[in-house]
Amino acid sequence: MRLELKNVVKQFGGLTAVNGVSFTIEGSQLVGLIGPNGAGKSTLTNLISGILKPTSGEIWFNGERIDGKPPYYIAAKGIGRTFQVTRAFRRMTVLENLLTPGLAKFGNRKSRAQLEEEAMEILRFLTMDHLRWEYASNLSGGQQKLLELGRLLMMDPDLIILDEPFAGVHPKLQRTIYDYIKRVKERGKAIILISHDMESIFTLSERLIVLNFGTLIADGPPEEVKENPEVIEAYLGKDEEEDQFLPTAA
Amino acid sequence: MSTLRQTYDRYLPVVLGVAFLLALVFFPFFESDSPYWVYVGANALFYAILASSWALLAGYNGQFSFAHMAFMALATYVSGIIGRETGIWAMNLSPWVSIPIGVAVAGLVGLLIGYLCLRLRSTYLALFTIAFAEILRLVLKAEIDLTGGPNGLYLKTFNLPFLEGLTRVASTYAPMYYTMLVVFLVSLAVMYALVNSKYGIFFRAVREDEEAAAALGVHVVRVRILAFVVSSMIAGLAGAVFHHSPGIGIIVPDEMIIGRMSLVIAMAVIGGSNNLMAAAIGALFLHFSLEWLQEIPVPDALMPWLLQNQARLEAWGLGVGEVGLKTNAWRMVAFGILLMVTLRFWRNGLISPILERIMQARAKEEVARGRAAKAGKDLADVDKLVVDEEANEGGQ
Repeated sequence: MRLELKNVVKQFGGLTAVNGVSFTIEGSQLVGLIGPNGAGKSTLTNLISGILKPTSGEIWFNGERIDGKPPYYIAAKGIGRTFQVTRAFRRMTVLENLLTPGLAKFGNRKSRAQLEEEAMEILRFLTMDHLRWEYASNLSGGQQKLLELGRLLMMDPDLIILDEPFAGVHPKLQRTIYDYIKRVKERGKAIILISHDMESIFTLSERLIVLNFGTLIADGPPEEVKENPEVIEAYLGKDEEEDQFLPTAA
Repeated sequence: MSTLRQTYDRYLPVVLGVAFLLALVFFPFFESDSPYWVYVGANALFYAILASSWALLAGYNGQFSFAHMAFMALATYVSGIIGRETGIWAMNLSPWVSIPIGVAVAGLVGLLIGYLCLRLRSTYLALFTIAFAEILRLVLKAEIDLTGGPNGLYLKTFNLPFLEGLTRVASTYAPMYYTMLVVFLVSLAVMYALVNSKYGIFFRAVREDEEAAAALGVHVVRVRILAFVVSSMIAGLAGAVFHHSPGIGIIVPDEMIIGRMSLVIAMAVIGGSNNLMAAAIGALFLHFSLEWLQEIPVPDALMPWLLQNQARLEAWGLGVGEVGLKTNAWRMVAFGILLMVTLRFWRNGLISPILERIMQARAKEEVARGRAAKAGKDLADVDKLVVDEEANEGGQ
């Protein structure tokens, strides 16, 4: 797996949301993408997943240029994502939610029964198998997050973008999400993890990319990024002491 | 007790389905002395096809179109024009040939409209389709040489010699009724095959959240256009077959007026637009109810009282008929109130929740059966598994 962004810019009218961002992710890395509110994290994920088209710059995935391609095409190429605000298919059952990416998968040769069995396996892992006939609208916020993650397992992409997976989730369910990320990682997948939960992101990430006002200000191992003056300034402001905000140990 | 419940859950949908089918098949024989009601039955089936195909588009795929009657009329006009013996574009084709061509044209125009509507949602989509339907209606009305204008286009009717015998034992309208019944069953079968395929899941995923569906690999453009084309073709088929039927043989542009379209939408909504069968049953029920309400039969003993108060009743917009009370416009008021109450209290319609409840019990059993089979257990254990699962879920 190789994702490469070359000088990607996204402007909305006069506002530059992403400003010349370039980086490469190779292999099964777990990369944390952080930055203060409005830094351009979600815009960047929307650009990678094809929901937005860059104003300029190039995005390459596994040797193919994908910027400007429709989201279903990019999904078929192997990039899966969740959304900051959960977007489960509310008037569909949990099982149907999971079947959607399985059936949509390009070149899928599995029967519906096989996919259902696969979906049940995933639901068991997420401890949601008893909810398979439940409409997604009846699930709690945390369960809907898990459902989104389940859909990604079903989709089985090479690169997974997790946008705020821990936000608003009960600590008990957070544990399941931790396990999920580890399991996905063990399968050799690359992950881009976006989170405001610094503890989690510093614990899980092997590499951190930091955005501020749409510009990439740091890229490296968490220990290194943590000490970066620009990062400290972005989070704490110029006159503040560097203190407890960034965790001391990864 | 639980085994009894399992048996009940397992066979209830089958029993109800067979009963419904038998009622539809034998209806003309029950009404053999009343051809009018058989004619109403054929009309009801026509609306049932329209309502269920609209439900496919709006209920399953979230595309709220007002152009459904326009596609119905388009296929009928195309079939009628190319089928006639003389006139512009006349090809003197048999209805068996001209109807499929009309349906194909409806599908092609559906493809075009579906493509043009790709970026339109809710109100904008509704307005776009209203504009299309009104333009088509006005063109059909204005092009008198081609379409017959406001007086309508006379169509060749098809003959069904093998159904002729039914006119003697059932009703003069029996051939028309059975033709519509076949189209109804075939249309439902096609739509059910579609919604039970992967496209059914995609339809609903796109309805729920287009961006999320696309991010999971669903080809949103293809799915939206497919829904538009299939529902347009089915509406076209219903229209063309119905109007070519012996006993009809004419179509007028005002069949496409927005009031008729609204009636189809209301039928689907009251039945339940998220379920094809519910929308169809809703249309059947409402069409029969509206016809029955035209003149509500009253006991003979009450007729003198009605006649005595005829003037007062007429002042209220009611009337006295041969066998009972004529409701005139009030039946539509009742229909409107039913629609409002349904939208306020039963967003999923009146029939759909009942059907879902019946089918869900069966689905649970199917899962348990699959699990038992996978685990190599005897299928006799299925009942116990279902009970266990229900108990587990009840305890959640």
